Amino acid sequence: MIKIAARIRCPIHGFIELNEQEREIINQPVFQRLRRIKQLSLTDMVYPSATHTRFEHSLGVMHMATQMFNSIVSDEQNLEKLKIRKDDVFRFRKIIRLTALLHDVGHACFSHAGEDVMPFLAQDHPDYRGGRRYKHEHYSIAAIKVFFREHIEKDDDIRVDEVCFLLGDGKAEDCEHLIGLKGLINGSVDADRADYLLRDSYHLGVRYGQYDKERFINSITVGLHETRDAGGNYEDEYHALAIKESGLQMAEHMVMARYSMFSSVYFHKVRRVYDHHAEKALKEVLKSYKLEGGCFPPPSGDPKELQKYFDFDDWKVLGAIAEGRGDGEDEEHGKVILERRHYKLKETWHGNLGKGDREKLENLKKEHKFHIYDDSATTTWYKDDVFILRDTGETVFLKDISKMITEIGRPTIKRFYAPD
Amino acid sequence: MGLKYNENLILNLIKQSPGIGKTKLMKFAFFLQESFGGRVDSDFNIYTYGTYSDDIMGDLNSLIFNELICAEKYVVDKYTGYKLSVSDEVFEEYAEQLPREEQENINSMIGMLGEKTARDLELLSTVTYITNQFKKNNWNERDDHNIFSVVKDIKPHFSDDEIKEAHQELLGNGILRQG
Repeated sequence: MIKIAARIRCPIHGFIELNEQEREIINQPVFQRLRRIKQLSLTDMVYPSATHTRFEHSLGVMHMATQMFNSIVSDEQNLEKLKIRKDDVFRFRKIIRLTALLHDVGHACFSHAGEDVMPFLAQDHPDYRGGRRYKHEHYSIAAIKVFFREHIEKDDDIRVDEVCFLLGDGKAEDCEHLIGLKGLINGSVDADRADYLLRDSYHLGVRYGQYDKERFINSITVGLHETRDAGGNYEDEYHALAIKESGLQMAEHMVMARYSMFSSVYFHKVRRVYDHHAEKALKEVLKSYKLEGGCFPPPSGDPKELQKYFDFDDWKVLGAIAEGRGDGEDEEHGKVILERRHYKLKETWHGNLGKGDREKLENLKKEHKFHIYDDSATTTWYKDDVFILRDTGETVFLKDISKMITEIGRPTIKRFYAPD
Repeated sequence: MGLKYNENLILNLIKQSPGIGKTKLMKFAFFLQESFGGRVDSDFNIYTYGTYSDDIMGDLNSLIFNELICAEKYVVDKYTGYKLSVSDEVFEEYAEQLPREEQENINSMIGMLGEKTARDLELLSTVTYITNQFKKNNWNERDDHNIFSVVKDIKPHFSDDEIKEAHQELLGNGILRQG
């Protein structure tokens, strides 16, 4: 039994309890920085109350991950399926909690909008493929290794590699024993999603993101999914996190909640254009700080170098924008943000662009010297499917048994914006 | 310009392998990037279900929903699967020709792996991912035996012999390099 060191009030989950080690981690400056990274960047330009931060979300994800983990391991069959020994449950819970707590610690200012000014991956990086940028996960992993190692490994039971493995670190060694739990941190029913739907919905004042949290926690389990090819030949089988059939309606509701949040909030036409303004203003700010190419410094194993990235947060960048450092020679994206004078929507396409649409887009680009073309609002909301463990013991995809899920739209939206 | 790079790539892969299933398509994309020098705008990670990219799955689902790809559902016993195809008309309207070098990479990959079943590819891709991970990290002290043991942890339903044979095959056809 671990002694509770603190209880933090949360509007979504009630009290979130922390042990001494977690409290120590939260008190580190790099973690406290998350108080200055808004969860949804400049969404408050549309929904004024969307000012919640990555800090409270990180606490919420830790809480949700714990509840989900507890629900899974309360069933001995699940332990067997995931090859977890009873003696390891306590230790694995600690790893899951720390991973969930730290999963977003590397987020840039303006959250996801800041990822477009991350540098290109170094050639000696295991993820290098040419022309690809670092992502916030790379900075999270670097921060965990550099700034949090001593706080994590003061607990003899836990290795930093185990935390990093669950975040997708290709350098984490000897951690395959945790592979069945990856879905808790990154999967179709992960703790991240489970928290942000409720939290964003609450803070924005919309109801779309609500779902039955208690039913969700009680429904989560482990299923064995088997596949066959069209000829009936055995293809593959694997264990994956699933929802019990008794939670089918809840699962449908959760997918609908995600769909509604994406189509109404995350893909909102004005919210989307501010992601682009934020990225462009941020680039100018970074240039003004003499950072090469207007990009963040790459994640480094050297604490001083890595700190240069973590010195930037929303406060610092918005302060710089207020000083005029977010404006370039031609375009004034900083001023756009300060005065809420965003580029206006000129054209929208639903679905994919055929030849005629592509010509139209090219003409619009010629017509408007300054413009923003947004083609990234696609199906990110529904990348993977939820597994349902049926009462008969089979594990199937939700979309294969739910007409509702089959029928709902998957928005593919492309938009062209330009100044009035 | 109309389609994202990955969407165009997926259309091209399916055009060359009509009737392909989702698992096989995912493994093709993985091998194309990992072993044949092809461009795929996605990170692959390892899960209990093997090498997987949620970006590829998202783009595929998007193309299916927008009816650029036909996903014909089949049910065998209690199992459901999908056969993917793209019509000539859709391909003509939406797809763009890949750069010659990329097309050559795809041809090499399909030439070598096109006839493999999804089950074969599941094992081959897992062995490739784990072996390359060992190499990239210079885990020299972890020999082939360790690789087999990790693969077995992830894919316990494959026998030890099957895993060793898959490793040998990958060395034999040059997808994995000795040493």
